[in-house]
Amino acid sequence: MSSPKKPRRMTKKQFVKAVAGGTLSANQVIGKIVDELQLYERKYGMRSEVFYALIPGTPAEDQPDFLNWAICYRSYFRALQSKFPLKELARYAV
Amino acid sequence: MRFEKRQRAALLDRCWSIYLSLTSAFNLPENFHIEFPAVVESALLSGALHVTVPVGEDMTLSLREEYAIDRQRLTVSRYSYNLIDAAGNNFRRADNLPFHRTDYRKRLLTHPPHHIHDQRGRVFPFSGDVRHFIADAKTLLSTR
Repeated sequence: MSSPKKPRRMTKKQFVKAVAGGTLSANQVIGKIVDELQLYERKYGMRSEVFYALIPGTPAEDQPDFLNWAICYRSYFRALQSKFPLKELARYAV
Repeated sequence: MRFEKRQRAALLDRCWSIYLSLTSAFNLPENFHIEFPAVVESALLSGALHVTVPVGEDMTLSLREEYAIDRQRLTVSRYSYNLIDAAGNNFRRADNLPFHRTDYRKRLLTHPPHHIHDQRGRVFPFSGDVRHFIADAKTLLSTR
């Protein structure tokens, strides 16, 4: 009897090549994060901005959804910053 | 957050070590190997890694890490590791929120703020190392 086929693991070289040759745009990443934020917003009936002002930093954050929501919210701004680096935005400073 | 070359390399190394730990512990579906690089690409843009993968017959492993640059070194500033059952309940979850100093027996945590919750919400000591969480998940699945 043959054993079930084991999926082939990437080598580190293949992994680095796949990441470097990737085609994900900042817009796609931001879109995915926004989808996730909206899931939490619908589930808890609260805007992410309100959640972030109220929950993180308090013991209430020690709940899986809230912890993930907070990480997701911060990564949204990091991804935005990748799309619009501060150096680029500095042009618009008055 | 725009990662510089060295930081990107450090983040790639971190993600690679998670990939190695996962693939050594579990027989993962083929599409995980295909999709993982895109997950890492997303982490390079957002500063946070989120891996979700089915393990065993009815469990899901969800690993989320948020990174920060500290003196040119990549550190995991916040994490949430979850082993979730088919009903969506957290069977085990580990994080580094600073709200626990003792375990459920009121003994000091060995590596605060790192701790782990069982399905009843009880707090146990945890090293903070994702490899230990994955190994623990593997042991739990093999003894069920």
